[in-house]
Amino acid sequence: MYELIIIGGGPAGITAGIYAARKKIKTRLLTSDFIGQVGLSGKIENWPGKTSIKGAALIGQFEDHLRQHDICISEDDALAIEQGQQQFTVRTGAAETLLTRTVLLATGRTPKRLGVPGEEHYAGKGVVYCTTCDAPVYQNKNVVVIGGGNTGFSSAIELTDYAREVTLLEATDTIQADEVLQERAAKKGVHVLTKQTVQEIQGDEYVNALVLNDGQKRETDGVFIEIGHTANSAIAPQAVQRNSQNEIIIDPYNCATNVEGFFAAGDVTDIKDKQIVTAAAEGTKAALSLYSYLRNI
Amino acid sequence: MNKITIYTTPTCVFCPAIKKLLDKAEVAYTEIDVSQDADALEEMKKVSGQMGVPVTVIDDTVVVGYDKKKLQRAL
Repeated sequence: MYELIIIGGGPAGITAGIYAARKKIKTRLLTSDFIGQVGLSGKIENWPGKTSIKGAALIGQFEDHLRQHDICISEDDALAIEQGQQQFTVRTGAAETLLTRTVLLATGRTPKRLGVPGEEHYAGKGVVYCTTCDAPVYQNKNVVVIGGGNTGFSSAIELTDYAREVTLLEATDTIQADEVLQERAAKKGVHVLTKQTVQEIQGDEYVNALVLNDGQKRETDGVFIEIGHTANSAIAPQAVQRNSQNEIIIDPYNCATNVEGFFAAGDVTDIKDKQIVTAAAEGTKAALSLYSYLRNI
Repeated sequence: MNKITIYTTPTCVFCPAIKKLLDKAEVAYTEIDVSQDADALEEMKKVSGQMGVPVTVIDDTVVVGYDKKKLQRAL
């Protein structure tokens, strides 16, 4: 039996894994991959010590750091978690059944879908959820980014290196992105339009237009969707409390949930700020709290 | 032996994970950067209907994105 199973290979899970290994907690870390939201990011400019680093490079460094430690890592999906008497059973995609005293859920978030007609049909055919991956494919094209937060603005800025024309549409009348990103987007020639809601994505073989809330049709070759994220909390046992956004409710002091022995850290939880540095800090807090918990049961 | 082609871009974050999987399986593959080759981009669109990377073609099987299970089944 393991003392701890960590589920998730992002900054929270990896940092927790490093601390757990240093505390010699008998740990297994399960993750479907080491990509996640960090890997999907273009440039990251708020990780201390690196003025600018690509998301894929940063998560690669995190993974390398983790693998320097004595910890069992499986690139495998966790499919189910069952709560038992002072233990949990974790079933994996490779048909393993693992027993553990505690669980740390650090499964992060996934990008939200717009939920409009045409979106699903044109996914990969002009509808894009990974700007970093596909921006180079849109050389000299006319593209639209949906979402006026930091990720929307970062995507729009990244696209200006390739696309002929970049327009950013925000549904509300307020831009939430950091001022520094707004200034950079303006310098790069991104057209920003507020109070613009997409009603439909149209095309033939590939996307060629958007229909907006006022019925206006806007021609475009690509639609990059960056409207926020949803918490990957579905795998947690039903007894674990979530908030209205399906984020796991944790005790901010120690990352414990309402279920004895079940902890959560990072973007899957109800912490206010979803940042790489805060996720790493939460992973640390959780691992050290789990160490105390395990030594006192 | 499988004939394997992977269509990529230099910034594709899922492509290294696919190449790692192929390397682990000890199979040879051809990588094509579609950001530098308009003909290759058209070829990728033709075989997959996709405008996004990664696209991996293993013999007659087209795998869109990083679908680990489908890749493993096709090898």
